[in-house]
Amino acid sequence: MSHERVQRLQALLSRVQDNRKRTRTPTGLGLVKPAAAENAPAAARPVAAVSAVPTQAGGMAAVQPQVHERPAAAAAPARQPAPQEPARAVSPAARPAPAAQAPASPMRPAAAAPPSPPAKPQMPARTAVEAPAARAPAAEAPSARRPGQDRSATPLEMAVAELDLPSGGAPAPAPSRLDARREVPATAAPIAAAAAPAPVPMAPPIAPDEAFVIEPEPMREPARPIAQVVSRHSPQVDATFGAMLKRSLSLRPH
Amino acid sequence: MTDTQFDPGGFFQFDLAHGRVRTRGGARVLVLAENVLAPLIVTAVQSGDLTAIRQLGSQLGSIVAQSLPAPAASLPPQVVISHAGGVMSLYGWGRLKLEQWGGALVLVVEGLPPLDEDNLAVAALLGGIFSTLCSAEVACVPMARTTKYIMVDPRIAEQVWTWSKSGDNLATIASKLSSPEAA
Repeated sequence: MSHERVQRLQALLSRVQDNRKRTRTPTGLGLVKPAAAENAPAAARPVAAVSAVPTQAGGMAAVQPQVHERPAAAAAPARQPAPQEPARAVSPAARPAPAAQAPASPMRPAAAAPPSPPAKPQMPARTAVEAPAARAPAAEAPSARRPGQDRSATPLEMAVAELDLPSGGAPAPAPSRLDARREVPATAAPIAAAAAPAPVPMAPPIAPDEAFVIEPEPMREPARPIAQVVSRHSPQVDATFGAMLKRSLSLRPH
Repeated sequence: MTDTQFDPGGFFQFDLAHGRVRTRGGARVLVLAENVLAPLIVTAVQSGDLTAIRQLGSQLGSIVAQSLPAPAASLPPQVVISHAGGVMSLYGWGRLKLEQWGGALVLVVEGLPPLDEDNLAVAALLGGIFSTLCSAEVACVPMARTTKYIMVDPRIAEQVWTWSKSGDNLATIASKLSSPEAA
């Protein structure tokens, strides 16, 4: 790999990490392997490590459920470069074995590249929290990469994949919760702060003083009594029916 | 309170062997359909003679008086109306209620089939009932377009009837009447 490429990857890596810091990546991302990643071939393990990013981001999973609703057979083809990615810097000869390209989607070129969701730099990733520990060997990462990683991935995807690799450069079989915790102490405080399930970045709630409230006017004092007795005749209570009838029969026109 | 409530049990006796129906007091009665009685009543109204209807009311008043534990004049109004209404219901003359508008007593009969246009037949029936029941001549004047009948002295019944026919409602008529005590 040329020196230019190393520098380019470093620049991309720093940019990705900056973007991740801005999006307040929740912890726990990258700690759980998705089922599709575990079933992936060995050559695709680093890809699975990156694909764990959207799986563990609960909020992102809710936002983009179509990614996880795909069947297992379609999961591997889904791990392809996003359309918005820059032009591939890897030649077709560097792509993985044809066996990995077999289930390729007719819409995209077959490649065991990282899935499109993690390729987006603004997506939260747990490794962003671990970035301080992984950043130091990041410059050496390109040279220490294992052969399986030199595939037809875009620089951005490769940079993201580098973040999930152990700092020693040894090919990790799969991202595990234990490995991730070992990297945590360097940034224990930020991780602890982000340990709580961070909500998906949303618009700030409307402050009470900004809400538009319409309150009724206070009721004014009535000029007259609310209830009035309109009958002109006070009821007369008689003890017997005879007395009542006698009074009724005594009525005369006036 | 058992003696203040009307007991309709065993009021009619159907003698099927002889084809007779008698009341509890022994009076023989006939069961008529309302569409048969109505033309008879209309004929009586047109002829200006409602004596038969008033006579029927007197018989009912006698039955009511017999069912009362004491003279009607000495009983509470609720007891008297309960018994009178019970007898009227047994004969199919509707549901009876009593109202008081100032000093005037007003009878309300609901659930009656249409008999005559001005409800004069029911007025005659009620007059017969309460005249016999209270041992005093009582005129029940129908209020136009209502089911209410005001109980007045027969000497002023024609005046009250004129007011009602001219469009005065019950409140207006009641306000036009005053007792000598209030004057």
